[in-house]
Amino acid sequence: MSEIPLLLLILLLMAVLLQVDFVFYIVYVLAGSYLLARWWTGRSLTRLQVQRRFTDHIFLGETCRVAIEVVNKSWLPVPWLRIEETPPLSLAADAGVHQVCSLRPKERITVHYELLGRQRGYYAIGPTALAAGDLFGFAETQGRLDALDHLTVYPRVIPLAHVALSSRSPHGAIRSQQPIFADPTRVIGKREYQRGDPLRAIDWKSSAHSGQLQVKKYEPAVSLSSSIFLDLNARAYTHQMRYSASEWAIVVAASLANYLVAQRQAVGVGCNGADPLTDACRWVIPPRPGRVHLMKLLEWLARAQLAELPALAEWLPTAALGLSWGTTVIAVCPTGDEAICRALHRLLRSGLNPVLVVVEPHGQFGVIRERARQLGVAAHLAANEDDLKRWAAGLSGAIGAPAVAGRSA
Amino acid sequence: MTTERHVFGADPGRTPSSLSSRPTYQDFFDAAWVGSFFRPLLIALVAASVVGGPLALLHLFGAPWRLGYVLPFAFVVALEGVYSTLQLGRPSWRVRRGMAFRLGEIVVLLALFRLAVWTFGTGWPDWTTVQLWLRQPSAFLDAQFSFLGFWILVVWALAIGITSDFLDLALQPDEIAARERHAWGESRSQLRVGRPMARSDILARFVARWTAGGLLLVFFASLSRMDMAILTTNVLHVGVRSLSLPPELLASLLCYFLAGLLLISQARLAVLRGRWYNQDLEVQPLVLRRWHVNSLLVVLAIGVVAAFLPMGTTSWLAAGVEFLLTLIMRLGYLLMFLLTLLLALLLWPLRHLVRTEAVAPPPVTGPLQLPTQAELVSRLPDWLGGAVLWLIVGLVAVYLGLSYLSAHGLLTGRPLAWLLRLRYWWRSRWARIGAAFAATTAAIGRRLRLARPGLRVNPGLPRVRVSALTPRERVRYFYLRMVGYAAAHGLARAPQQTPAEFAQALETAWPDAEADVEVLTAAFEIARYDRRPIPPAEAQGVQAVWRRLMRGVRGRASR
Repeated sequence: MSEIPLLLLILLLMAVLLQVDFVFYIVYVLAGSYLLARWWTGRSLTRLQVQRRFTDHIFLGETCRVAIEVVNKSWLPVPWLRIEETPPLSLAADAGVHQVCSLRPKERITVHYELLGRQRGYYAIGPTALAAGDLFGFAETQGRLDALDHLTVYPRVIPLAHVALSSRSPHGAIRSQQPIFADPTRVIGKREYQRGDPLRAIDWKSSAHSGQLQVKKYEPAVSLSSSIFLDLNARAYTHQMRYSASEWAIVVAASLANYLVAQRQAVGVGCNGADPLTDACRWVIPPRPGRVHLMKLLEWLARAQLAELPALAEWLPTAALGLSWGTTVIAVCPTGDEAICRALHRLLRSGLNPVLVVVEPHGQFGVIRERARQLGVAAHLAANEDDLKRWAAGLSGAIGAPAVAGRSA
Repeated sequence: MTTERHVFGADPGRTPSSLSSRPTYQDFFDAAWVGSFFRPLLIALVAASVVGGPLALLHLFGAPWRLGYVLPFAFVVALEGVYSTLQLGRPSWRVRRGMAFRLGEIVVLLALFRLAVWTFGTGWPDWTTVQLWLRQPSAFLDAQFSFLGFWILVVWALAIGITSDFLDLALQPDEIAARERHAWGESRSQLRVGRPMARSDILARFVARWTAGGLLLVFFASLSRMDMAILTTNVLHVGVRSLSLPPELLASLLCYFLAGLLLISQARLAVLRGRWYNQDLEVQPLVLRRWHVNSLLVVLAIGVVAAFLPMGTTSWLAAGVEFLLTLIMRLGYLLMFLLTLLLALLLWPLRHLVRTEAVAPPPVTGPLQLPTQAELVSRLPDWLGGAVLWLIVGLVAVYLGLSYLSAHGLLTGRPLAWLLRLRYWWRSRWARIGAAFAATTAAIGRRLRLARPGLRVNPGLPRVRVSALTPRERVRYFYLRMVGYAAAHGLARAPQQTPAEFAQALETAWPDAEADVEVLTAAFEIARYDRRPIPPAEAQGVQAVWRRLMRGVRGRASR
């Protein structure tokens, strides 16, 4: 197309020298086409409004339909517009958008593609590459919609029916086998007064009705306010299993959080992994009850990434400072090394209720369990889904740890 | 919103599985591009517009011809060229591609143009004119037919060239096959996708040709405005007179540039289409549908707007340039005058050296007008040569024209049957004539050979290709050539003679070649009676000996 300016120049010279009026017309037509094409093409992308719409939070296995809406705000049409957007590799349900379309003035079109939540994470959607040109090949322009949107895929949550966790916090919603945690708000019956019963336990109305002193029988209950600490220090994991074990640790943490919220308990999460959204290296979410809080926890867990940070054992005493007395601290670690056991022991001494959950398969987990037991910490192995379900089914002995529900500090 | 994955085929509903079951050429044929109606019209317009230039030239020189039919005829010719090229691009027309088809096309077009010239231009020829053509065949090619016929052929060739370019811009079968195979999971086809056709080069070539043609056309248009009278009477004045352009030239210019712009737009679409196809992009059908409308609207809008812009307002600039040119020419003339004067002054003293006496030239007698030998010998009528020439030209033209018509399927029914009968009759006659000619030439050859004294043919030793023989056969062959030569010169070997006895007889007759005869005879005996393998080098040595022997013997005979 480099001949066109040369042709224009020669034609113009001929028109001027020979004073042929019609050649001026030809010059006008060619120059008009050339200049209009260049001006039009340069303007076409700037007058486009591109917007991306999709559900930005999905669960694992769900699909998400991404809609890219392109609006031509100009009074001139766009003869051809090339739109390309490639989805993240681990979410790609199809090839994305690789399309060529045409836009009339003020026209609005929408193109779609689908994402499949194959893996938890925090994904950048975009950028969108755009290209447009004129009808004659005089000009072509390219652009990018650099504004990135993000999609959060929640981690997998394994439903747990029962998890053998103990608590030292009275007045909760979980039934306990220990009468010491009898909850005066949970009356389960009456009996005759015996010597030594506290006077506040006497049910005066029943006593008046029966003519003998009756005392209320209370159901023992504990509060399982918990905080799950997830170890995402990359160095703590075995090199070969770094990716799979860390992902599994997140699944375990999410499943425990889900279980505890289902038990109407307050749950918090702390992690020494990186968060790409806030650029935080270590983060703690204090325990709160409720589904809304659970979604918040899952979102943070979805974004959590391995990081080369100090070990959880070093950070844990600081992170647990704000927890109230009796809170159950569940440390989800790849290996239960001595440092983490000692850190948990310090928490025990400061009035918390530590539990160690090991997520990497360990040939001699008995050694770890014994070391933890000597330090007063319950240890569980949950190296895979079967281990976790067995723990959830209450077969705690099968996974190597004593039933901590009956253990007192 | 629907999208079109198969931008190439006529049937977008075909699935790869159905393709894999029984693919036909139609699955790999870009019917959507080739079958367009709008594009051939544009190509014909652009090609036909070129003839406006020569028409302008004729206008300039004031040719007294009626030329109103030329532009429409050129358009029809261009359409025919486009149509035939499109048809030849189809696989089903593959067998018709070739020089004969194109020559037939030219013959038919020229015949039609000849009729058009007679009908609209010069009028139909009378009997006297026909007699003139017989005596002087060149009279058939009058100036109007020759000049305009040449340009009609240029238009036709241009239409074919542009159509071929646009056929090359279509999606090619290997590209379609590569993409389909890629879609079926065969990654090897990606190699072809990685080497797409250079459609941009084709587009650039087309634009360059269009630019050159446009400049030529504008140049012709400018020439048509020049006043030749002014130029001839006053050479020092370079200028133009304000003449209006002839209407056919205006139409040509308008069609050439506007239709050319639309064709560039189409070529651009083809480039993008190929790129998108090879990059596996989904192309909405609206893009292709709106492209034609958008390009047409843009060109028309620009054309209308340009019509309202001021023209010729730069005449002050033209006047300035004209003044500058005149000044340069006058200065040039002044310089030449001064140089000539200087040279004359330098040569003035030497004028006595070159003075010569005037000698009266001898009277010149006129050449003797003698009739040529051909005129004396010839008793044939003067129209015979022209008639033979016309007969040959007519036969060739009829053959090519019939080839063209049959290729287009226009020759059917009774005419076809009659032509086929004629063809079979001619073939049988031709075969008989050929056989008779061969027999006659063989008989003449035999007579001539027998008539040569001393030459006897050795029928048992035909000429063979020596390189095709084995070494053993080669040795025997050269020996037998020697025997044959000796027999032809009166030294025939008697049937009872052994090779050694015959060698003694030869040595007696050719004493200079005694050693060579012995070598050849010994080699022959080994080749004939010994079973040991003969190396090729030995056979080559025998050949060298034979050559030397023959040279010596022939030299002796010539002495």
